[in-house]
Amino acid sequence: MWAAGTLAFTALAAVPVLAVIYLAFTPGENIWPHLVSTVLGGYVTTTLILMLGVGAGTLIIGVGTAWLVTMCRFPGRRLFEWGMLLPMAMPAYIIAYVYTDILEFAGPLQGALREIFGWSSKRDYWFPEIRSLGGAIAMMTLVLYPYVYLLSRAAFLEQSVGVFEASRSLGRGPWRSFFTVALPLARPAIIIGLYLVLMETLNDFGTVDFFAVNTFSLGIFDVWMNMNNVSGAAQLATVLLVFVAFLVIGERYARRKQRFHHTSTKMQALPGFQLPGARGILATAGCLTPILFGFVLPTVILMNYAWRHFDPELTQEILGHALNSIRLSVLAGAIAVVIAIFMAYGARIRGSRLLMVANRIAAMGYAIPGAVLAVGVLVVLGGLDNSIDGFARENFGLSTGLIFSGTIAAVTFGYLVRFLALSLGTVEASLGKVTPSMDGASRSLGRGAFATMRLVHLPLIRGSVLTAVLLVFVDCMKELPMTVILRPFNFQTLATFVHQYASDEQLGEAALAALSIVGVGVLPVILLSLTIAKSRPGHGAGQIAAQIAEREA
Amino acid sequence: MVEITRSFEIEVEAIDADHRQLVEIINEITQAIDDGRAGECADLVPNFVEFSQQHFAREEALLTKHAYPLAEKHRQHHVGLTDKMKNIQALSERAADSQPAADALRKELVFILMDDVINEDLAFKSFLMKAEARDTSGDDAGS
Amino acid sequence: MQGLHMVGVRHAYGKTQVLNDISLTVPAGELVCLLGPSGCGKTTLLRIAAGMERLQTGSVTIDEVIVAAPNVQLPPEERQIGFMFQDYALFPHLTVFENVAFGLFRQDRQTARARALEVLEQVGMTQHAEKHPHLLSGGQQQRVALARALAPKPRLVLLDEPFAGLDTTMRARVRQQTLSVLKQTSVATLMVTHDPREAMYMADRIKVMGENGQILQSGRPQDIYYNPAEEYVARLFGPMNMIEGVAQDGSLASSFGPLAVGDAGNGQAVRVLIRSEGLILSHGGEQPGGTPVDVLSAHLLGDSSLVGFRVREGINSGAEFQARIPGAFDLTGRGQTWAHVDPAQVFPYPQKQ
Repeated sequence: MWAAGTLAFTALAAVPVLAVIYLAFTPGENIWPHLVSTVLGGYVTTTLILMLGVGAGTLIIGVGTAWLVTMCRFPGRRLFEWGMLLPMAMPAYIIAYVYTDILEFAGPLQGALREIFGWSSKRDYWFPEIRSLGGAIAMMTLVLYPYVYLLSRAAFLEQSVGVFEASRSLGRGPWRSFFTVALPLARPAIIIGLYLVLMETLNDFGTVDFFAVNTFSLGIFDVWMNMNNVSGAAQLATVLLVFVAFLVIGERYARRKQRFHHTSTKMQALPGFQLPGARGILATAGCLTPILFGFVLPTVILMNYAWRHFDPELTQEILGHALNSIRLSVLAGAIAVVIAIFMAYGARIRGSRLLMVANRIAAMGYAIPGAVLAVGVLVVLGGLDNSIDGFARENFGLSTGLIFSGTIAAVTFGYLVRFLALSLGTVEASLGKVTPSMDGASRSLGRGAFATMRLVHLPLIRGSVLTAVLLVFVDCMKELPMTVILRPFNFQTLATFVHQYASDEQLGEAALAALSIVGVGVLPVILLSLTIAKSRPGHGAGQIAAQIAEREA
Repeated sequence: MVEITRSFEIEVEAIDADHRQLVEIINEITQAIDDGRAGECADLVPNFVEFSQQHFAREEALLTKHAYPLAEKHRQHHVGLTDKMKNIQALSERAADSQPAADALRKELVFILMDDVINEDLAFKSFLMKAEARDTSGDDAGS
Repeated sequence: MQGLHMVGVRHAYGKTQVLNDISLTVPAGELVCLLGPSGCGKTTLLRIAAGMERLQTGSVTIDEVIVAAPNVQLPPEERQIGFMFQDYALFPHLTVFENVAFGLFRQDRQTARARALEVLEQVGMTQHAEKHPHLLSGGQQQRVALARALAPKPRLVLLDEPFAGLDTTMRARVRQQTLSVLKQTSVATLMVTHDPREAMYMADRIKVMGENGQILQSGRPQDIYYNPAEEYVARLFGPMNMIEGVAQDGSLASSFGPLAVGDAGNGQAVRVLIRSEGLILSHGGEQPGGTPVDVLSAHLLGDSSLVGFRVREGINSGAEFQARIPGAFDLTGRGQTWAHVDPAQVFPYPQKQ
């Protein structure tokens, strides 16, 4: 039963992706040559530049701040330990809307500059164009660097201080020691963080759509919605999957190396280089900047907008959308965690290689960009609807129409495929901490597999089960591309509502909704901060890294 | 009471019969100890040792006859039990005056038979069953 | 027969054979101890008996019911066993009482409660019934684990290194309590340990397992200690003195006099092991049968001392040995020291040519 159930769930999770690939290779109308000759090159270049830029940006900010926070002592360090995570709460598309509103030609900043310097038109001065590839890189860097920060920090904490001090005692200065010892040791963890960043970059739809930056995600939408060409969309999606595959392979490789590096050396309290005077203030400023621009400023602006544009009628409407979001996200979170418990426990008690592999495959959805999954889900459910309809017509002479397509069920299915990895990773990690002898004890005392799960495992992993629900819930609340494509007609969630209003340059009206999404996004940040607070230097930090790495894996 | 239950059967009648006979001797000894006639142990245990030796000889002959590949190893195992046989004989002589000796004797008899003798014999169970079956059917065909 | 009967059990992880044709019998009321180095597969055998590991070859019978055979595989919950884990595996979210009552769900509440309290009483843990396991000491946790395993009146008790988690001072006491509780219940018990002294204390029969996953020797503790069938078994009980040479007329010439070499033939290379407690030291004038030695070191261990010495004469002249003698060794004066050999502690092993 465990095997059958697990394989069924895995199959369900894999079907959308397989459908996309299948469709790409059996096009009804072959526009592949057309795509290659026109847009493909652009998509590839743009996507690569975006990845490169965001990768470099997040590396510098993430690794740099992680190093400062773990190894140095300067004003505000304790606060930054968790504060650096805050921008994680901010979806890239929301920060993009906010900065566009502020920085565009008609926005307050350029307006003020024109006022001060007496410029009258665009030609009188140069100002960076926010709605550009560079802008997209900046936006995503600001909200995605926490992944790199989190994993680098954990890696730095795990390093034996002795290694670093040995290097210094051998005559290398702190800077050279950092580059020759600490950084290479932390490299596998940093690469995993970078992998997560690049996955999110490929997944992004809201920002690139708003900025009209032609990445693959946007291309898939364009070909699908505007050119109304399913096969073309599937073909683009397949190329995007190749990018993903490269990332996954790179990450696996890094992880293998990490296991090699994981020597259990004695942990000591970190030395903490005191940064005196000006250098300390510089460090403070360095850490403060990303938080300020990645979280504080946009939040304050949104609050300001929400205050100024407050409208009881609209608020009522937003409340309705919020309820939609919550219902959907709770539903997906609950189902995801039930499936995750089933699959993780099944693999545990069976101990079979097959089930473990199945679980890894089922968790792959997290690596698949939302746009690709959306296409896959639509194709699968459309096909299903058509065959049911055909069957009904043939046998009963009536049309069933579309049963699944464009329903809550379709959106939930999409969410589940994409976010199952979050719940599965969390549940697996916490089940892994329950020693197998607990199972043995319960079973030898006469309790069967189900009773053992109910009486022993569930009570022991209760906290993680809630975490798993929360993680899926939050990501569903923020999710945009799949919701936009898969939602029922006239059905709005907070995310789609914000997207729609912001696209119509009515951010003010959507500010309250955007703030709500950010508010929900803060929840897991708080959770992570608590874990960080509990972990003393060199202790337990690895667990956070494992949890994060696990939840994304 | 000891008995030869299903999992201890070699399913070759000659050998199982010997084992049952040994069980009977053990039960006789146990009964004597339980009835406060531990003095009889000194007379009964040599029966056990003697019958064991006869059993070993019969078994070795049978194994040789069927060309069991590990027959020599099994013979060595029988030889290796000599010390244990001496032990139980020594115990049997003290059983009358020493309850611990009587208890040790009772335990050791069961272990020798069930673990040292029968468990080792079970190693050639399937070999011997097949060999015997082949012989029987061969005889049938001949007559 | 009541108890555990395992026949011809083989087990491999991938290409590594960890159990190689193991058979054993544990009659009801007896305690059999599987003694072997860590990683020799003894815990695997225990887990096979419990049904936590799938049997690959062989059969397992408990109280005349076949619980595992090539075509039978009863899950642990249907085997009526009590398993005590090395880490005790007490359920951290349940109290001591709830832990012990965990396996009593088939009885009505009152009977279960009475039974749980009865076993807790038996292990002397009644006053801790409402505590959670993390508040207990290691020894107390061990007793709760034992009570939990015994509460449902299992047909077989399996103990996996039951005292490994305890410090030495506590170990002796807990060991004695455990043995007495098990003997009261007169249940068949199979225990695995890597500690020979523990095995000797607990077991009615010891089965020594080698690194190849085979049983090297079975027998009473006395048999294993005084008649070790192999060099490996002899060395289990501590460091050995060794003399090598060639057998002549059934003995090996040594500074301690001729040492019996069993059935080694003339001219066969033979290795003789002598336990450190098999070398006896005495002082004073010429001792018949003794050999004069120079004492090199003496370490008091408490109830005994380890004394290092060098033989002064004869064929082993200049060789160093170690003796374990009762009490302290007086290094000051008292004339010449002499060494004798206790023949019961001499183990000859003819070397394969």
